[in-house]
Amino acid sequence: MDNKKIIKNLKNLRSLEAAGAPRELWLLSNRETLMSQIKPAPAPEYQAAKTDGVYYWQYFSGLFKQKVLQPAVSFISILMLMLTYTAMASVASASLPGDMLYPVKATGEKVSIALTFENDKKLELQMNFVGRRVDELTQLAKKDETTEVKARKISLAVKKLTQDVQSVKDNLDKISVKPEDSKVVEVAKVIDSKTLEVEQNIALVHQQLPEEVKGEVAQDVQKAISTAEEAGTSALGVIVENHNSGENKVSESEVTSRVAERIKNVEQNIAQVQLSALQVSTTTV
Amino acid sequence: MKNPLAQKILFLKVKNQDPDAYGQFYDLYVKRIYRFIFFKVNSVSDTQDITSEVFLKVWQYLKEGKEVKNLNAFVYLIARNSVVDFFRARQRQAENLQTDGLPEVADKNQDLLGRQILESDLNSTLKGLNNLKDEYREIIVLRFLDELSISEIAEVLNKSKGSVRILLHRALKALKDNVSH
Repeated sequence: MDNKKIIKNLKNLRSLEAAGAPRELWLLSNRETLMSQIKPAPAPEYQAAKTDGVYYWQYFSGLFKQKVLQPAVSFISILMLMLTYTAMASVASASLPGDMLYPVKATGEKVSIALTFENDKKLELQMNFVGRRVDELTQLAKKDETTEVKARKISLAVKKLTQDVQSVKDNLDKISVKPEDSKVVEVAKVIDSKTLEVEQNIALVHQQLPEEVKGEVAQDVQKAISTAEEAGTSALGVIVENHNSGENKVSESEVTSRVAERIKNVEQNIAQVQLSALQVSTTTV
Repeated sequence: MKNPLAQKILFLKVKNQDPDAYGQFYDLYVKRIYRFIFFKVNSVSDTQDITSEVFLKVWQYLKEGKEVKNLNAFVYLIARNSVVDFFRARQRQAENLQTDGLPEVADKNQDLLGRQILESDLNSTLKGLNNLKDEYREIIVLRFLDELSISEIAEVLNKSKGSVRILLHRALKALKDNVSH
């Protein structure tokens, strides 16, 4: 017997007592019994029975609340949150280390990095943020504040800068396992050039600080410069390896000029250290 | 009641303890609940008693102001629980009416036409149905005798629509096998 036949038979069973069809007489008598049990005494005149209109209103208002009002409230809440965050982020973008909204800015940057999936793009973004750190440092240096406050904020800014540069170096080390990759080389070039600028800018800002503040932040500044130097050296290493691998993404003249620039920078740093040491010894004498 | 909006309004009225609406609700559900119980207890008199009890219990539950989210599923739940209570209370051995496929008839006014029809190939279908396991029989009755939709069956059995379709497919297959043998 096929499905069609079986289903047809099942439907034909419907009206049979043998297949659970109740008797009409019983249905009616049972209904009467039930109604006599559930119907209350006649209602007093002043109690008006609910009209159908009330039930329709109840149904549609419930539907409206469920399908329109609740989603609308959720949407508006989310919109308000987003607007509030955007407004805060906009104000926070101008904040400097030590300001109340600076953590909002820092969080926003972390989110941007997290949402960037390609490693070379991530590194580029991180280097942009390092550039921001240098700008923040420059702005802080120009601000008119007490020695104590200025030293504290500059120290914060320099430490943040060091942290960001270290992140760049760590990420570069991760992706430089494939120095032949053209994207890796391109980003290494950017890091090499920018870290040189970062070192020079940090040194310049430090020189322009009041003496009292200079002394307070000297150690942090030195650490920042050496971290930038390490990052730059790593980047240069990637460039040189690429050249040596024969991939020819970098010409020999470019390699030579970058290495020369790096050596010059190191020599300047050494000279600066020697000068600082001399100044310290002169002062103590 | 094919109009879903009208049904929803009726259910709202029932939940608001409107006796006349409950009467309409009884008319809508009594045959399905009766059949649902009948295939579990296989006795007309017991089915009548339990069915009456179910509708009274549902009304009493509503009267106590307790919330019922899904009236359709709720009335089947009460029916199922009432059957369980029945077997517990009576502690009776299930009459093996399934061996001959013919249920008990409460009094002498038997459905003579029905008996004649039973001797035709509908009998094999009914026998096959009674020989199914409870789960399969239940879903076949709900779908093809009571004509509930898949969604409604899913509510009653507290399963997903996908599970209901699979169960129905298996039940129909099992019924086919029973009928062929």
